[in-house]
Amino acid sequence: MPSRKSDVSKQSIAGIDRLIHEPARYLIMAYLFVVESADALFLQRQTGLTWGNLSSHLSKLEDAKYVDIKKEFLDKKPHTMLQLTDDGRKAFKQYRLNMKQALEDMPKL
Amino acid sequence: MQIDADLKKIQHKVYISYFQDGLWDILLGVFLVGWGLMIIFDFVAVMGGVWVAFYFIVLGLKKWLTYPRAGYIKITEARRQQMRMVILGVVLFLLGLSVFALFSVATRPAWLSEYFMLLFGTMMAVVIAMLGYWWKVTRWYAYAVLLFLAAASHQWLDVPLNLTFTVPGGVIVLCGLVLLVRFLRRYPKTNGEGINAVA
Repeated sequence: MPSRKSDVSKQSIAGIDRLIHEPARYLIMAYLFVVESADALFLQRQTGLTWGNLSSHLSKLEDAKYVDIKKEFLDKKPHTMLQLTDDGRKAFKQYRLNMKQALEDMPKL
Repeated sequence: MQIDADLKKIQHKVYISYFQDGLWDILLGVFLVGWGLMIIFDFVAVMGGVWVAFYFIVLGLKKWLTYPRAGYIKITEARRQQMRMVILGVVLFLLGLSVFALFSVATRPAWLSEYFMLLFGTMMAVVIAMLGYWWKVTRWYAYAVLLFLAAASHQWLDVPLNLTFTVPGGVIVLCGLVLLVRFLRRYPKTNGEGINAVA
């Protein structure tokens, strides 16, 4: 008979957002979580992702409405600012809670 | 929890990224060198103007050198508010200290006159250490210790007063310049192609 603890663990793991669980996307969301907004160059420098990778992950996060991408011009040069949406912020907080719960529920070796 | 520690590390990395170009170190160093020069040449008003001008030069350099290389962030409103309060507190404290130093010469008690520069240097060192703490830039603790040692050496080893500020200030400017050169090498300017590829 499965224990109550393992049931909780299964629930926690099942609740983990797979979109955020990917390490590169987690990193992007974590950086955006601690600031109000950042430009693409800052994210690229900090995460060490290639431009192609960064663009692809950002598109997925934008499709999920977790990230808002704004194109603007600064001194006549294109400038892309990125910001977590309210949904993105909530999802990131929930992801962290679920991960903590899942890790706490794991049996001690 | 590891997951909390990771987010704190990221937050710390974001905060110190603002100081990795060494420009604020250079501004602090210029401020201290200015104090030393003011003592030597006695030109208070000119020095005030130079500090204000340097502050705007640093802001310009941030826009011209730092953001095109390392990117730009807007910090959260709470953090912005916290930084504003810290800067306001420091400016008011330094203004108060300067006014007191300039206008209390005749009225100070003897013990205060004897230890005045040590106390003054220590207070400035405490302010620098507090800024380092608030901005999470640990090398500023070393700057605070350096300034305290310089003030103590004036008090007990009779090192000339002007050196109390110019030497630590000069060392800090040099540290800032080293950081700036490292920063410029580490982050070459991008041509913007990659940025346009995003989304």
